[in-house]
Amino acid sequence: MNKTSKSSIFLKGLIKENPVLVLILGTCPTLATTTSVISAVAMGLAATAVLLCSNMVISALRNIIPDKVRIPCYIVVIAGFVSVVQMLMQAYLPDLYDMLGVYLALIVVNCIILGRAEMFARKNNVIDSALDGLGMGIGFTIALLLMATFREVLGNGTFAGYSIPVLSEYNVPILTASPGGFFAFGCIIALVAAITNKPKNKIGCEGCAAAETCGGICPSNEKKEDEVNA
Amino acid sequence: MKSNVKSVVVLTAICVVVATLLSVTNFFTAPVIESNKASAAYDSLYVVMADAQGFEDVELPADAPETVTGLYKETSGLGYVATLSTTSQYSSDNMSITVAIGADGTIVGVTITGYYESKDFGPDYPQTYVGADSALNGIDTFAGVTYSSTAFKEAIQDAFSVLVSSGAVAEGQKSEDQMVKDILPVILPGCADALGAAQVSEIDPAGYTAAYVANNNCGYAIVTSNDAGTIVCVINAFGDAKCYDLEGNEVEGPADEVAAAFPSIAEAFAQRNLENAKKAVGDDAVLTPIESAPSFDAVSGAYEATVGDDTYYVFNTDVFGFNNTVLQMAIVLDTEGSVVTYKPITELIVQEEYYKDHQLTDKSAYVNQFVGVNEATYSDDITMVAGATCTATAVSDSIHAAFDAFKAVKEAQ
Repeated sequence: MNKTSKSSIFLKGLIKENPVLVLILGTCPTLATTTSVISAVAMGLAATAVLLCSNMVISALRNIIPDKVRIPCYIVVIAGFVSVVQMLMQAYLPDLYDMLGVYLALIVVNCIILGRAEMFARKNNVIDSALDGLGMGIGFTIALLLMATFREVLGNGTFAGYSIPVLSEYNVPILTASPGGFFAFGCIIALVAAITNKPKNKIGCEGCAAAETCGGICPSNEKKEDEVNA
Repeated sequence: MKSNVKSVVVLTAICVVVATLLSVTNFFTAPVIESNKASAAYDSLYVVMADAQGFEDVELPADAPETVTGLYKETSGLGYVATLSTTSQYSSDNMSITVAIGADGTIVGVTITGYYESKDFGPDYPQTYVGADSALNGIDTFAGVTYSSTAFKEAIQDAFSVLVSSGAVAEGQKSEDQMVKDILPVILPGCADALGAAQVSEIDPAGYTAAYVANNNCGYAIVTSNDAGTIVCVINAFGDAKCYDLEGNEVEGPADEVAAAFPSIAEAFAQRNLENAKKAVGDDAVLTPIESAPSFDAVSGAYEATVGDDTYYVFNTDVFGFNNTVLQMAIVLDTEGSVVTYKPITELIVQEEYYKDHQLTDKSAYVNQFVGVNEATYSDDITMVAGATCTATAVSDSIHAAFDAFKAVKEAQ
């Protein structure tokens, strides 16, 4: 791969294949931790660290790990890095650790991390996988930051805990609750789709932003293959 | 087969490497995490002792009150911090208190970390304790939130009791004012509320050191002195007086003089008491005021009633009930001291469903239980009504006051 393609690997996670706003992955932590900007950024950075490390390790081991046990191997690697991040945060950032609560441990089952391992890291070299992990992690963090800013500023009248004049008096508290989270999520997805001019009315791989990297391994494609075989 | 072995080996190897990585991380982070947890446990202690350098646990003595849940010593010698857990009967959960007591034996900080009482005495009341020593001179319960503030005060006293008994801090000296307030419910029991605190108001001392009138009009108390020191004389509603030293021992004193200095409460309330007595015994009865009834319980009036050939005794009682409002009653006893009837002048604050819970049909059934009961046969099982404890206790105290006054009248005769 040339230099341009390496930058595109990194950049695609930011907007074009943003894991949250385009691929709609990692919705659970997105909705749960975006009630405040601080917890959202902390979750984003923790997930980025795990994503970067797990992508690199899985890529490095891609020729060693047998295909039939690849998923258990990925899970062990990801869970190991999540536990390390968890211990480090509990030791050195206890306030953030308390703020994120159970969602920090739930990074293990974050679809983005396992998804990038399965779709990208196992097929590409370490440097590319690191760039992919970093780009996806930053894209995840940006998405969380956007969501949290929308919800905290309009729902609570504060930004990162600092009170905003006027908005602190006149706000929409439901935005910090679950329904407000879904509403904000929908609005931002719509906004990103409008900006990126995402193709419409295309079903299956043609309409999927991740089609390039997944190599056609998705349920809709498998269904077509089954039909052909029949 | 070969691929299966490879799968097992690779997965096992990855697990071993990851476990090693976690062990190393844990080796470095575990002490830091433990240290964080320990300092977090002490966080609430710094709130009440901001200048503290650190804390160490102090083992509680075996006989420590249950209220005291933790005791910590400040490492640089500033004093101690105690965590307390208490409750009144009007709470859904325990009240949690953290109090810091300096090395000089005075409170340097106090905060409430959990409050579940039905009424709130607000954030200012606990701060009135700052600067007080174990004597808690001048600190009263909070009017209107008596039960909760009493529980709070007693918890603070428990913290002091642990520290004083272990010699950690010196015991505070009670002021004379505090000693008088402490002794009043003992020597003038009629002025005590359900929690045993004196409900009195300060009045013009008429030349004595201080003077108080009971809020339920059962008598007066004056503070004066004799050769032995400060004494307290109490005068009941009928003008009978007794004097006591601050230890509660009856002493010789100017009882007659002080009794004469204050108007008889019975006289002041003569018209009200007469009307109330008639409500109990009937308008046809001939009521003769009893001039002297040397009882210091919550009795504000006493009459000998003649109905035809029968003679009865009618006692007006004024006892603190729900929310410390005064429950007025007129209780009629026969010549043997058994209850003939009683008339609650103040409406009993007992809802109808409470009577049903008590397996009684209504209020009249409740009242009729007392007929024929005397001091020997009386039992609190009769009066106690679940859900209306304050009023039921007030009824019980009223009847006890009548028995007490009857005995005093008989002894005087």
